[in-house]
Amino acid sequence: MNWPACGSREALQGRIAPRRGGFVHVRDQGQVRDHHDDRRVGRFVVACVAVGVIALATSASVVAGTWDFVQYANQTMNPGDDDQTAFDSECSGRWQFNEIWKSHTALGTITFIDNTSYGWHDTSTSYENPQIKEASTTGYTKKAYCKNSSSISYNGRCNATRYIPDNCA
Amino acid sequence: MITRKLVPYAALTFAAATVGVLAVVVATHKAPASPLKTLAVNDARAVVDTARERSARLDYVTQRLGVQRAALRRIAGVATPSGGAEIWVGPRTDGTKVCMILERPGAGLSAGCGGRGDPFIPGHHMVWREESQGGPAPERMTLLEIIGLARENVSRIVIIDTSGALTPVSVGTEGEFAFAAPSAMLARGDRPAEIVALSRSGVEVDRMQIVE
Repeated sequence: MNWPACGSREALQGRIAPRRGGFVHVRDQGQVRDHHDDRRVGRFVVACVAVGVIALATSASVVAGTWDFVQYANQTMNPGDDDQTAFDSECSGRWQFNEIWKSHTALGTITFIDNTSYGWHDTSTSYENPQIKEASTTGYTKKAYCKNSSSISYNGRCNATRYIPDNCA
Repeated sequence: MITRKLVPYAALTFAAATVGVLAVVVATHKAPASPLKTLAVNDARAVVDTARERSARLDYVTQRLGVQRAALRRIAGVATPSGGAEIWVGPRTDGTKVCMILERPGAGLSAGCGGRGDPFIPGHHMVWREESQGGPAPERMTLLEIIGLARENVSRIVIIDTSGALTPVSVGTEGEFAFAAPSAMLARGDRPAEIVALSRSGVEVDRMQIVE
């Protein structure tokens, strides 16, 4: 049997008609059979709910994404040595966390550098090990950067984390 | 009876609404913001920081440090011109280090680890973190702050800048301290160069280089 689409005018006004005592299916011949109608209305409701659930699931997948953890340095860093990631983009994922792990207790600097003025943002310098810094905003193009700002050499591991959106237009 | 009447209409409304939401999401979708925070793209300094996002970001940082979230302890809050910071301390689960997390309103988290039994840098009487915006040259900086903790035997901190000028910094009851570089210091190209920790009697108990 042919049921109308959810939300269609036909569904609302034609083939399912409200009557006193509940909804019934109006047959071509004008016959009404209440005992089957309840089951059909039930199927119709299930179908509509299924459409809704599928729509919601689809919208959830549209806004999903994945975290990407990148080690962009792992080497002996002499005083003043540095390393960096590539610049990010909206679809490559914006760098959000930057960190440095050092083999010795010594000064290290981590920051984010923008691609217009090459200015530093959210810079953190410390003897702590490791050091982690989060970007206070990700809404601009930038790269993660780490530097041995001490006077000794150490092995430095620098990592950055970004969020890569799925289905980026 | 009324309920039975309404069921198909409710189902139709639900389906139509969800399809509508999907249509809006698809139509307006570019790149979703990170689930950790909602960002105002047009305002580089604005961060909408909900409690759930804050919690997720804190979870991430504590996981990276190897610190149990439940073991974090708030030590103190410090006031700075940029809005101050909350200082949290917690040990790593493997017991190797104690870490300090700074949480600043409207800004990103920062974290780091110090010694085995306390957050202080091994061999020192304090732990601190210099955080800045702009630069790298001081003249291009819009903000430079140093926030840290000192041991009980430290009652005063002195910041020595690259011109040799001294700025005393008070230490709070929990050992917390904060310094904000005056804009005049940055404008003339100077920045903090050393941090000196003094005892109650004014004796120097520690000195750490900021610029080496």
